[in-house]
Amino acid sequence: MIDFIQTTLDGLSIGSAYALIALGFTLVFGVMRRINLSYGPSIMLGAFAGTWAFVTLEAQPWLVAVVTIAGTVAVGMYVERLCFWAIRKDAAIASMVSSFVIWMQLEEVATILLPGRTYPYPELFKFGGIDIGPYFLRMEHVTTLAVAMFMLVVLRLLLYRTRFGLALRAVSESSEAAVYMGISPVRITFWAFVFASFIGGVAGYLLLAADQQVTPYFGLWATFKGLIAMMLGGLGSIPGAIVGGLLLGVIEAHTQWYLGNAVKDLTAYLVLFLVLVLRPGGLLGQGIVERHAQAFRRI
Amino acid sequence: MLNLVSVEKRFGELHALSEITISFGPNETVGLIGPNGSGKSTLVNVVTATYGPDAGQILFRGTDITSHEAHRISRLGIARTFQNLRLFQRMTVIGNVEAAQYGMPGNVFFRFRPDDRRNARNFRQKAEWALEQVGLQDVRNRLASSLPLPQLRRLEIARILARDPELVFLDEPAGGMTPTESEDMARLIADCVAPNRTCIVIEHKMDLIAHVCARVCVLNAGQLIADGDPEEVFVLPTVIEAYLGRAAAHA
Repeated sequence: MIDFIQTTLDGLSIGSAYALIALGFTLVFGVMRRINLSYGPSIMLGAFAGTWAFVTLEAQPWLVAVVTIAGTVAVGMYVERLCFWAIRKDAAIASMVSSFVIWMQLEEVATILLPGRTYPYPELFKFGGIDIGPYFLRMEHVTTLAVAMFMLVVLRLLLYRTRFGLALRAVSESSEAAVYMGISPVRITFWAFVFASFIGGVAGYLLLAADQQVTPYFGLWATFKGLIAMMLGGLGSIPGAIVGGLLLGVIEAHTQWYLGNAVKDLTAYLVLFLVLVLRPGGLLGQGIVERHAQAFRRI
Repeated sequence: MLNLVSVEKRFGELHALSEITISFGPNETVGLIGPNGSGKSTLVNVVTATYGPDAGQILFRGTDITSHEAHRISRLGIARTFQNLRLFQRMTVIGNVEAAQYGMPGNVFFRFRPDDRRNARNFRQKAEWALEQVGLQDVRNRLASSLPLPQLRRLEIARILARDPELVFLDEPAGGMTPTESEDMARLIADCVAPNRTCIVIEHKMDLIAHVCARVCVLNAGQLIADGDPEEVFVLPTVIEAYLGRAAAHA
């Protein structure tokens, strides 16, 4: 039982980082109804900028965090202008394909910036962790969980307590109606992208500081984890992104503990497959599938 | 207030609007009528920048707004309702009204300064007042998707009132309503929407037009065929012909 709880705690902490990445995907998808495949690579390039500062300038961990987050936001803005702002709203497939192309470009840029495959990333804390009874919590995991929860509260306040959140929800529901309220969907979309990139930068920093290394494959890994978490929880659902992320983390942790590392990802895909078969909109995202089905029926 | 000068709009071979030149003065309530497909909604869509005109000029308070984006036009003080409702169904009733106040001066993203917070309180009070005017104060916290059609139409009116625009287009405000509900809507427009602003009403229900409008403009096949006092316009042969055909006009 102690092993089970300890594994669950470990899963929740990694899952909270997945939840943050899924939140970034969800924020963009919710507003634009488009998937940004280069979200993970944006975080990777931001992290490469961070590790470049660490390796070449011997920057302190806090400065690495700032560079990583700022780098992710800058790359996110670049992707938004190129793949979403410049492409018509109804050409969702074109946006997705171009975001895939930009993914390749970002990996190339990362390789040119730092030609090696693996680079060190500074750890957050020098001391290991805290003991609570029979359980051991690594400080990186505690921090990840705490920051993720803090970001969720901030996001909730942003969405439901500010005019920006009101406008974002309005654009998310109907950008056609929102313009007649004086809301500029282009501006709101841009800021949604910036905020999603900020969340991604934070998640990337937390994950990499725990791993203490970064490779160009981090982009692929982050995109997969974020997309799986979002689809598990439900497309376009913010609570769904959180539930999906935490669930994915816990599933992976238990699979790794009981069955070994080799089948960890396979189990995650299997669970995703089952959820999509039994509940196509994800655990908390049924609404969007029903709305699309209704729209198709009307057509 | 609003001047359209030789405005044209084509959809392929179809001339939805042909050489429309028309002016609407301050505090006028004007009925914009015509048979189906005559170009009424197209005219509203062109002014509010749903799509731009192919030719001509649109002036609002002397400013050329022909190539303005829709959200900028809205911020200038032009509001509209829709024949097919465009409410935020997953928002509450009060949320819908507050969203409508978004582009108003002083309504900032984040309320850090005391002035911002005071403005926010004023906007909130105005939103509550707008809901009272249309009789929706008791359902303020319900989701818009849960309301029946007459209440949804009233919610669109509340969004207008909360913004206090100078020019309003009401696109079939009594569409899908019973005669009694239409009468209530006519009273609401006359008492709350029309005073102190220019109000252009598109409607097929002539009793509503006659009740609230002092002037009527008639469109047919994209052309302005009549403009004047309702009692005079309704008996013009060209207008009768447009609605009922040539035989009826000469009967």
